[in-house]
Amino acid sequence: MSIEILFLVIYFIAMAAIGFWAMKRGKQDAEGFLLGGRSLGPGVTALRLQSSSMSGYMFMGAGSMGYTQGYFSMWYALGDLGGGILNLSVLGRRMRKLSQILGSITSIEYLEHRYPSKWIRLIAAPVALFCMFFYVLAQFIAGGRGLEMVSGVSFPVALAIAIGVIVLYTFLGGYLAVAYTDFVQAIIMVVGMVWILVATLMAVGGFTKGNETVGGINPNLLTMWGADLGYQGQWGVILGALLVFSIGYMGWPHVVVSHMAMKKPSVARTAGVYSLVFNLLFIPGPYLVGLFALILLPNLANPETAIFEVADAVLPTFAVGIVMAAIMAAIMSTADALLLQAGTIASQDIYARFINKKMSDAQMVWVSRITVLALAIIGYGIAAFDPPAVAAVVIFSTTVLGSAFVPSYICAVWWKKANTVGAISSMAAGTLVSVLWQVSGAPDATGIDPMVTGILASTAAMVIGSLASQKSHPVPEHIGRALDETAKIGPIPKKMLMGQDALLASQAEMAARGE
Amino acid sequence: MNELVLKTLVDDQDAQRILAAKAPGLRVESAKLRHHPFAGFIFEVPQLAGRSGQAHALVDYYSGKAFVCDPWQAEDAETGQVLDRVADPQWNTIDFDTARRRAKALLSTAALRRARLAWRGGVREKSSVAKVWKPNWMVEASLEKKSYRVMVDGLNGGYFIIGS
Repeated sequence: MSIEILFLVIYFIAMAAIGFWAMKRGKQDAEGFLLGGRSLGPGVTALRLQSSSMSGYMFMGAGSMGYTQGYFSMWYALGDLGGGILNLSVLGRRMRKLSQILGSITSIEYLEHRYPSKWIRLIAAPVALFCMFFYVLAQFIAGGRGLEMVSGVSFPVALAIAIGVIVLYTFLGGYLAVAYTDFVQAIIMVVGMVWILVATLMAVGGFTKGNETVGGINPNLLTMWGADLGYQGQWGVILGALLVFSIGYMGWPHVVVSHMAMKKPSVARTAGVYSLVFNLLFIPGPYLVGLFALILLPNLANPETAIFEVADAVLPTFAVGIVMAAIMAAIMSTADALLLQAGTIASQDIYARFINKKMSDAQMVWVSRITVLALAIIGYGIAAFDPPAVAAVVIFSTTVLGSAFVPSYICAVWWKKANTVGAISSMAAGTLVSVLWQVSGAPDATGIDPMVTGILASTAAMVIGSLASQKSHPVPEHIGRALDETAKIGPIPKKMLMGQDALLASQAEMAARGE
Repeated sequence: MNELVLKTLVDDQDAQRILAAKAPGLRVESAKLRHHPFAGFIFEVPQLAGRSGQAHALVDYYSGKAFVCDPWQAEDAETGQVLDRVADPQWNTIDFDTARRRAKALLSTAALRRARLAWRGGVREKSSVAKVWKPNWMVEASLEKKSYRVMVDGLNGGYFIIGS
């Protein structure tokens, strides 16, 4: 057994022990069980959130982008950073307020409340499931590649083990996944990533020397136009790279979440700010490690393993085992969250809404289980024999989701004339155009990214569809009133505005109307 | 119809301090306690390893939004408080049965997410309260010659700006 595998095993035993210990000493009441981690402070909450959202893309896709395209990859990093800020600012605030007023819990429910029609859910749920499948697929591949590298077994075998462990975790994770395990895992991951970055910089002689050496290999990598300057002037592609993780990211159902519990709002707010700081420090790291991997490991067979290989090269052996274990655990928890979300969409947004309106909670569990197993089997079938690149899969699925949903989300709060016909047209056009543009090879032929064409198509469809059907499908009166309330914000001190508790939105607006 | 009034844990002085901490110089002109109607439910929620426990849920009658919450603390009946009840705006108002379905769906989903797929279901309603009145402060405040209307949660001190 290699030292890395040994540490992997020790790591998971330690996590299980922490989980068991925390469960034993934890409160026995159901509130504590349902709202696990509620008593934790904002710093811990932020770290836990980040550890579960730092997916396989960051550890494989981002490194690969840096390795193959140099500083061009920073367009994606910039979009990722910008997306967080955008979500925290005006757009996110209005969306949260409207979702509270309309009483929505999930993102799909929010769309159906704003654009009342069963067709909204009928279109949105399968599109979301379709895209989530690809995102989960990326986690499967990342897990398989990591295990392949650490254990030395062939990729199909490593993939089967990785998927098996992820599915097992999805079933039994409730016994382990307590706040403390997430927190410890996040600490190790952050320390590990920073450690890899620092050790990499030391190994290449510092940031400036590293850049000079990369420039000696290929000076184009130091520009933001790609390894062969192929993206110079290709603003359609660059715009797409910027948009995919800023605007596109907002299409993900797990991003547009609302608070479930009436918990102290200050924790959630401060955690949001900490998360932003964390992103600023963390996001450029994997891209830079990927870039400098060119110096340390110039002949990598698969650039997607750049981060793993660099870690293996620059860290002490015991640290490689721990960091690899933490990365694998992060991939696992992201996959677990996505699979559960997919199960919820299948059970509540499709099965309970259209097939069995009296679904019991036992049936809900079974629909979720079958969905997870189906996704795992199909995922293995695709990934084992012709695995696509993690970055490509993540970017594709984010592109489709962003194209399909973002105009509907944005117009929901910013445009009073946006109606059901417009939203349905927008979701259909965004999905079709982005998928067809990609599979037809149009990005290479035209130099325009599918994110650009997808978002243009869905926005145009929203405008045309809404304007053409104002008479036949007017926006319901209660929606109009809710929008009036959503927009009713004057010049307010910034500190006060940032500190608001969106959970109170509906209570506040309704109390105010009566006065 | 059984009713319950939740105890006001944040008084008007607390509300003032909370807002002043966010905007130094802000002056509270008036603070009025108003009560918002929820349907209240207590469920028995199975956990893992054969354990189970009680969970409280509130569902907003006027928006249909369901929340998991802490156990309720009732207002002392002897205070003889006259409630200033928020009127029904008739937007998305739901009835008690709909509230019950939403509360159960929320708790089932929350339990499934927490326990993962090893969970077996079996959420069971233990008791309910047709009207749970939650206290909120409607605060009129001024800062630098501008007036603000803010709601402060009477349970946890969270606030929301209604207008300026």
